[in-house]
Amino acid sequence: MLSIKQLCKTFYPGTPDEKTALDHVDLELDTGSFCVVIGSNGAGKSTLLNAISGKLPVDGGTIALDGEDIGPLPVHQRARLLARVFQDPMIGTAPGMSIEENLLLAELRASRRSLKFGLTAARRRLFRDRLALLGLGLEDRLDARVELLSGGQRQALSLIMAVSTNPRLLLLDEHTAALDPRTAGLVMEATVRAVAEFGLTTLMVTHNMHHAIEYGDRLIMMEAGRIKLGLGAEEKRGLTVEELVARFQIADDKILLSD
Amino acid sequence: MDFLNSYIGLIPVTMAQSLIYAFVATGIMLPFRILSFPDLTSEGAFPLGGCVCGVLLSIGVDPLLAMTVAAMAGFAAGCTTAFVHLRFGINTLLAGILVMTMLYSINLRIMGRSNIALFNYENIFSNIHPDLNFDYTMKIPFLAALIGIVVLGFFWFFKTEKGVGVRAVGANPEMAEAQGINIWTATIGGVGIASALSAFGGALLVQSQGFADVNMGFGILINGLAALIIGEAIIGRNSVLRQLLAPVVGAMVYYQLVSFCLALGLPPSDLKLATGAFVLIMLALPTLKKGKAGAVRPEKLRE
Ligand SMILES: Nc1ncnc2c1ncn2[C@@H]1O[C@H](COP(=O)(O)OP(=O)(O)OP(=O)(O)O)[C@@H](O)[C@H]1O
Ligand SMILES: [Mg+2]
Repeated sequence: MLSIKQLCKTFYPGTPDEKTALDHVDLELDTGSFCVVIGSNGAGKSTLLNAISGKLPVDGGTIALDGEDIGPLPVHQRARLLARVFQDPMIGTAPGMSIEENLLLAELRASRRSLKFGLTAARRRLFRDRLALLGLGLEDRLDARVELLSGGQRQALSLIMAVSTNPRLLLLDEHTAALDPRTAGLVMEATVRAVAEFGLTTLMVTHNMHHAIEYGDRLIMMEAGRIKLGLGAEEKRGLTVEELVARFQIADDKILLSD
Repeated sequence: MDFLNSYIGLIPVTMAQSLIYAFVATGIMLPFRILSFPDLTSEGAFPLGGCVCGVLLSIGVDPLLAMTVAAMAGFAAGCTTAFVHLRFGINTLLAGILVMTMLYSINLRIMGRSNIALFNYENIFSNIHPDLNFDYTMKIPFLAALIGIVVLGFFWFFKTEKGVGVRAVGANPEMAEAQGINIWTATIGGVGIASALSAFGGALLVQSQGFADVNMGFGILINGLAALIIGEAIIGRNSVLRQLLAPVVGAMVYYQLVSFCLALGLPPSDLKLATGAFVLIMLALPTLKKGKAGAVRPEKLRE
């Protein structure tokens, strides 16, 4: 269970550029819950995810995962507990290394890295099976360098890397936004399948209202650094884009226009 | 054909020398290529290793121990550079220049004078066999075995779970961190080991040539870089093994080239100009080929 209390973050405090990105945010997320986060540009969604992952130091508040206070842990130690997929496909993978080496890096995210040979035959078989689920043919290119892959293929690989170690929390920040509709659909499908299969506790940011309605069992909207409204599984069911827009009084053209 | 004879006569000497410089070239390659951390510390770590080893030998310390201490001193120098970069956000090159400059004074302090003659003391070569240092049919295989062990060691390490993690830090630090890898440990340890190699090279050289000199590092970096680039041009850098062999092969070719040019009559004082121009051309070539010089960044390096 993810438990966030009174989380605060202000950029450039005390200057004319002062910007409150997180304003005493409280959020409880049950284990296995799939929560979708929406909100206009600059609402603080990415800041919230960066604060949880440790990328961004916060000004105040606590973040606990299954009762453990992860606030004091640096990024690489939080990685033991949580995985994330970034919006930019280039950030989530190591370009000069092979697909299998990237998968190995993710495989060991939660464990101590030993001085044993990394890419064992057993592991390569495991990686092949995992990639086959995507249906992109990556399973036959295990030793290809990731820089040779398209953005969509890299993002699909990032997703496999994030979910396959069964993290206690999965953070997705517009992870399909940079992809063409077909690949976005593919990555989204793979996401939903993995989240369901492993019962992952997930926090997914999206600007796609259809995704927001279709996926997840909880929906929250952020505005000006606060969580403005939340819907549970019951209320989400049967929701239409029009209702959602009316409910949340979304005044963001980008959201309305997105398909 | 006189010059040819003098060149051929020098081949074995040059070969032994280049196998020693291969340690430095490897020490330059590791941060630059594997960690994306262009580092100048070698220019200070190489004479540091030489000075430490020289002083210890001159007071009767066992050669093996003297070389170990020299390598450890180099390790500390490399760690300092990496720490300065990570902790204070100082550009890696500038951090390297700072450490290298400070090392010059430190090296002088360690030796107490600008050079020490070591002909009369025991060294690693004479310890193993009285003729090892002068019989090139023994010296060359011995040095080749030493650098071979280093290359194989790294080849093994970069295939281990830890080693793949270290490579990830150079390939994409943000991703590496998100995969639970401690960037500080990997960078500090990696740059430290690289400088230890340079220092080890310095320790070997002073024993091979019979004297230590604070100025022995002057220009070593550009020589090592030239060697690395030649090696990469010859055997490429598409795999870990190739990347590891490149500085060794490159050093062997580069020092033969230098020896050849000197035999041809190139004034030694012009050597740095020639080497610098060569490295510049090799580095500029990829951008020139694209036809838009300066507009593209050929390497993605840490700021
Ligand atoms: N590194 C930073 N430095 C300064 N200000 C920042 C930084 N990151 C975010 N901000 C500011 O904090 C606010 C929240 O930004 P955030 O990126 O969290 O928004 P978001 O909800 O993810 O928006 P989007 O939908 O555009 O991705 C914005 O006003 C932004 O300008
Ligand atoms: Mg964002």
